[in-house]
Amino acid sequence: MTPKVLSVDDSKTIRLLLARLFRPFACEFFAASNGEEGLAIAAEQRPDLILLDYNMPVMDGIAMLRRLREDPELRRTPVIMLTAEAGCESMATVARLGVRDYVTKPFREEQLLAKAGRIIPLIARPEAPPVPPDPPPIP
Amino acid sequence: MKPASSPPDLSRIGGRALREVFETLLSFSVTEVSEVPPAGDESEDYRLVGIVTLNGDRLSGNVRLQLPEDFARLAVSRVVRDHGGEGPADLGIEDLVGELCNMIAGRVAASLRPEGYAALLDPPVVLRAAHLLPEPGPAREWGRTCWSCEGHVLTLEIQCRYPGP
Repeated sequence: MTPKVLSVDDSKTIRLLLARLFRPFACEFFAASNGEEGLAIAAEQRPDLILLDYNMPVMDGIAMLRRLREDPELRRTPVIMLTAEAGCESMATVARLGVRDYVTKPFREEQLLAKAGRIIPLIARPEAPPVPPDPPPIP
Repeated sequence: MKPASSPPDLSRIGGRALREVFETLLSFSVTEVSEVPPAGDESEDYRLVGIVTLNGDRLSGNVRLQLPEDFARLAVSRVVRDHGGEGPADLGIEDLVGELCNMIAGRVAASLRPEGYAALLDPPVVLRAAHLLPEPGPAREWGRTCWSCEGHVLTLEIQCRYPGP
């Protein structure tokens, strides 16, 4: 089954970067610009991973996370938090709400893919194809 | 945490944050330059200004990033090209400026926290304005640095007020 990834971020720049980043991994990618939209898409699509911004208008990442955890259908959805604020005190709250991991923006692609790959094993850096063995010597 | 006895060096903190963000997101290197007056060239003087407000018990202030619009277009092209985009049309320059400012402000906040000045960030606001000159204020509450990047001059200002205990 094709894995589904949902990005919830008010920045179009970040949504675009994430869509491009996950494109090579044959994921279905969905995007929302705030927590409210994110919850609606999550309920409909049941994503395998949510990449959730911390600081958003309308409904921020913490509020969306609380709502997710209250929903019996969505409470186990893995979430990686994206935040501009490294070492934010609210990360303790986020951890209590079962966030798997977090990355600081701007993120390094390899770092985010490695964290996502722990949740969706299909996601890993595409590796170079193995070198074919030498052809047998021509008699 | 108890605040440090001397106020944080906002110019140093901001400069480090700007360098990290520009190098990681845009792969642009930046060089600090001395204060550059408005050039009189409209395209350079007309600027996009990203502003992120910082709110904390012992700190209130803002981080303000000023960019020429031409530079913002260049940055969008870089982001889109590096990520296989079709063209800058699918990404707004205001959005990128807001996000750059947000990331810089996040790193500034992360540097201020261990010095006893924890603060949360508001979502970024982006304005278009003529070249904004420094506002007067006590030196300890201001950090202003100018940067050269890809032939453009950018300005980063951090203003912090430290209300008494």
